[in-house]
Amino acid sequence: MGKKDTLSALFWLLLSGFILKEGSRIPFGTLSRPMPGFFPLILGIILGILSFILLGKSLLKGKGEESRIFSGRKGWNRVVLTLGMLLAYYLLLESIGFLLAAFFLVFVLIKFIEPHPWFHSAWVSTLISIGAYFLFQVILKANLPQGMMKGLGF
Amino acid sequence: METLTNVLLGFSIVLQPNNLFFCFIGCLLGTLVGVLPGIGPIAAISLLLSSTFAMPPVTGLVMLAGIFYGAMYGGSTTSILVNIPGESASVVTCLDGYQMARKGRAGPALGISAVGSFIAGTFSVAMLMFLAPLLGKAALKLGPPEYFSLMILGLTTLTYFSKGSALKALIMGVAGLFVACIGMDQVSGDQRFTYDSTTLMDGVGLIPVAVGMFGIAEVLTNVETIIKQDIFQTKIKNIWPNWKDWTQSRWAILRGSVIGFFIGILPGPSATIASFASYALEKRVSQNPEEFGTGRIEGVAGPESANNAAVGGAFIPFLSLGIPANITMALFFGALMIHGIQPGPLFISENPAIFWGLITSMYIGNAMLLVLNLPLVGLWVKVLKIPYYLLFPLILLFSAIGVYSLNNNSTEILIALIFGVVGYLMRKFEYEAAPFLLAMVLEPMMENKFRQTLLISKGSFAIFFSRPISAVLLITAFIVLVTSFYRRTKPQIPDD
Repeated sequence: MGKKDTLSALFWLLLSGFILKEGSRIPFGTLSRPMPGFFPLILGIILGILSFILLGKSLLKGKGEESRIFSGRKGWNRVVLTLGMLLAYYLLLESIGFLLAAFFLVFVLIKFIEPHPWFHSAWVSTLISIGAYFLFQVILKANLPQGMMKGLGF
Repeated sequence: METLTNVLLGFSIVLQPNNLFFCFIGCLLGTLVGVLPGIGPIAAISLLLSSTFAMPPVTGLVMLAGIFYGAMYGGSTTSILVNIPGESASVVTCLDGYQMARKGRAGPALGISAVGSFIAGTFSVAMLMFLAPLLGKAALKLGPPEYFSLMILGLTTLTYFSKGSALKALIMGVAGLFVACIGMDQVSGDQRFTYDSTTLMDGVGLIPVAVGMFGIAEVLTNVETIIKQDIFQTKIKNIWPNWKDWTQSRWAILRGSVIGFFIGILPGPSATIASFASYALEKRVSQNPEEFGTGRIEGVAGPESANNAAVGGAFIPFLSLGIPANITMALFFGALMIHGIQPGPLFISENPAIFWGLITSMYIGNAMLLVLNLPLVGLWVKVLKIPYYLLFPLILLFSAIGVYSLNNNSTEILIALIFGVVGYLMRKFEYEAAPFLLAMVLEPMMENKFRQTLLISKGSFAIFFSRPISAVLLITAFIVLVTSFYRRTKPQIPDD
């Protein structure tokens, strides 16, 4: 309890405000003829009440023994790198095609999350991306994007 | 008798080479994800959901089911050998299983675990086979108010069983209901919270959210604090439990099967709850309760049977009422929708081939798993040695492929990523994903039934209480909700 909960309670409070504000633009209808705006509005109200209660509880609890939210710079860097690579994969997938995107994703993660040698990372990534291609494209017929590999028949 | 004909129908379907093959694949993958910490059946099922699109519906379901109960078998391996549960349903197995391994009795622990799982699994499928059609017929008497109240009960029960604060679980549930509102309204076609985005118009998909919250978030959490795990270096000799082990365990297995099945029917992470309940029960009825935690075989046999039996029970609300009671069933719900099949009380009567094919596949799957887990346990131990630095890129890659393949739309990857961050933050701030996801799945039905009810009652809320079944359900839900705020100790963690 305490700081963490206060933060999250504030977030929920904001969200419920958002729901109520945006939701009020959707037609509410009447009790006997509820329309699309009905349910979300009720949800917004309930969420608002619950987040108030949570906020109240967390403020009353005050500062206590609490674990840190994030466990340090190195860990944070790893998380950010992982997210960044996933984002890069998403952005590049359609343009460079599955094989290259997959290789890039796996290679960077293997090489940099925990340090591994270049060559080792490279050949393992190659194996994994080709293996995944084979499994998903060939066996499961997934239809992965070809991007710039189009002409090569991949 | 009708059931016999249906069972024969089921076998005729599942014994086709294609279905047998994918049943095996499901069991294999299930054991694999059960063994590997860092990925569980939920993540695996959500990844592979889209790949079932190219298969006939029964084949897809058979494979996904195999993953589900297979993971219950595999999870025990890591619990016993490494004291790290592969699945939350195998947490309890660590208590006595690991101690048995340290005394050189890893073999019998693994053995009794596999056999108990088989017996319990077979028992629960048999029960499912008889009960689901019966319940399906009874379900036709349920109208919109009853359905709505039942779903409310489901959500509140899930809140009750949440590990942390009940208030936070409730908030998660409401948040999940809201996220499901995003998109085009089913009835009127109005856009809700879509801001003209074509992707959002279809709503926020269940699978990218599941993959994000369970797959990606897990990876992010693990990558942040890299734990080195020591695998217990021992030769596993003598898999087969001895006679004494049998006599000690047989009642535990029986009790575990029954308790597991009935708990399985309840909403929530029933396999996990069942395993804890079985452990508590075995300790209670044992003549040597003080020895629990030092390597009593009943402490392994009971919970492992219970978690497998819970799988069969979990299918009941889903197959007979069309209401998923936990996340895995929610994913199955999604799987059926991909194939254009509507789950509900009419599901069994309209799709007998799928229902009976699925049921009989579970018998066969349990048998396959017994073989996979006993003689091949050495293989799984080797698998455990795969370093995490190789596993997690694989998990991420497969996640990305899995969500992309849903609609050949790379925006799904972005959604999964966003919910991966959401899931990661939720763990940091001590919230649980389960109520959120279940609420997301239930929302369309809930809202539908809610609106229908108000139409029937012409705006009166009294109808929820004037109809007896609905009233009972709502009052029970209220009691469960209030109790969940006041429980002093969390209901499922046994004190050492």
